[in-house]
Amino acid sequence: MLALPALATAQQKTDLTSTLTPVVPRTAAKDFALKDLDGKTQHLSDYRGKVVLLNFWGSWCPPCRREMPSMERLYQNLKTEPFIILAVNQSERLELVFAYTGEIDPAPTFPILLDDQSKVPPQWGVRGLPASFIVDKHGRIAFRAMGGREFDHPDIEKKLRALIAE
Amino acid sequence: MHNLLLTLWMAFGLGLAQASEVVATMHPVTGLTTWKQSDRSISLEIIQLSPEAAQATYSSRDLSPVIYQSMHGYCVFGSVVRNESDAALTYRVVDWRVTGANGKRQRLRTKSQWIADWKKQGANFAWSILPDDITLEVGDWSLGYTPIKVEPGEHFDLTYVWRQHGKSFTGTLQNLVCPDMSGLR
Repeated sequence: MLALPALATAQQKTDLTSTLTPVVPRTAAKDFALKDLDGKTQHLSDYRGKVVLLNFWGSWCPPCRREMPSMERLYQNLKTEPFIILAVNQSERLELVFAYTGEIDPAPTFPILLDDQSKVPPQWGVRGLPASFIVDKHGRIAFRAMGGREFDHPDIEKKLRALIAE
Repeated sequence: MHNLLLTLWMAFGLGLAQASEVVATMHPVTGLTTWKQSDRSISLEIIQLSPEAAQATYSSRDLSPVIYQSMHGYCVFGSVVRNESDAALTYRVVDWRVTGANGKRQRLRTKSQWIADWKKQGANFAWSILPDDITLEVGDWSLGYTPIKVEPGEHFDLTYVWRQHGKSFTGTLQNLVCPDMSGLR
């Protein structure tokens, strides 16, 4: 994979961060309908009642690639909780996304959604990748993060567990 | 990697609190250089790329050749902006300037301008260029390509601007160079 090779080298020297910015007051999350890798249409609103980590990513983006294993570890840590991760790929072909997810260790077991026309990010005010949002059980945006994160960092997991407990 | 080439402390005559550190590193295999400046609340990293590497980002994804062709005449760098402080900051690439060795100043072409240009030519792709108008909260960072209209081998300074607590701040990365790939192994 030739994605931003020099940029990737530089990124490997820097740590992913572990902050989440609270959204106050919480605002209603814009719903969407996107297909997953199996061709099944998924709506954000399908997950009302669960805390959702919504992540926008592309395989050319080094921090997107670096943070994804931590998302899977977080997903496993919280697998008995009402919690889901939706990773929305931007502008890439199904075959490429499928091949890429096979390279990740640990491989993602959460839903990967395809936004081949990049229609959803503008509705969420996303200006760059990766960008992530935490949606509470009532469908409101509780936190956001711009740039790569170490999602299984204790600080992030603690915030998510508090949100799940609400 | 034994790639530390140079560490510069530039005090600007304003005292240590406002000093900025520039670290330049050279990749041992490609010979390409990365500059990183930490300046008060922000850090900016500018990364030399080979033209082939930048092109491959698009061609390996079957994206329209219009995108890379539009960068003809530009030197494409990687760029990373980090909020290193404990409060939100904003930057707008439209405020940034490049000063060439001849003293001529130019604006950077922004992500919004690139996307509009690509769209006009039928290429609907909204990513890969550094976000051009953004608020970075605590712990946030952004990255992407920064194409600059300079020639291979040309030296230049990049002056960048950010705002925090209602004030405007300026930093300069000096003596950056567009890689001349004919001189690399």
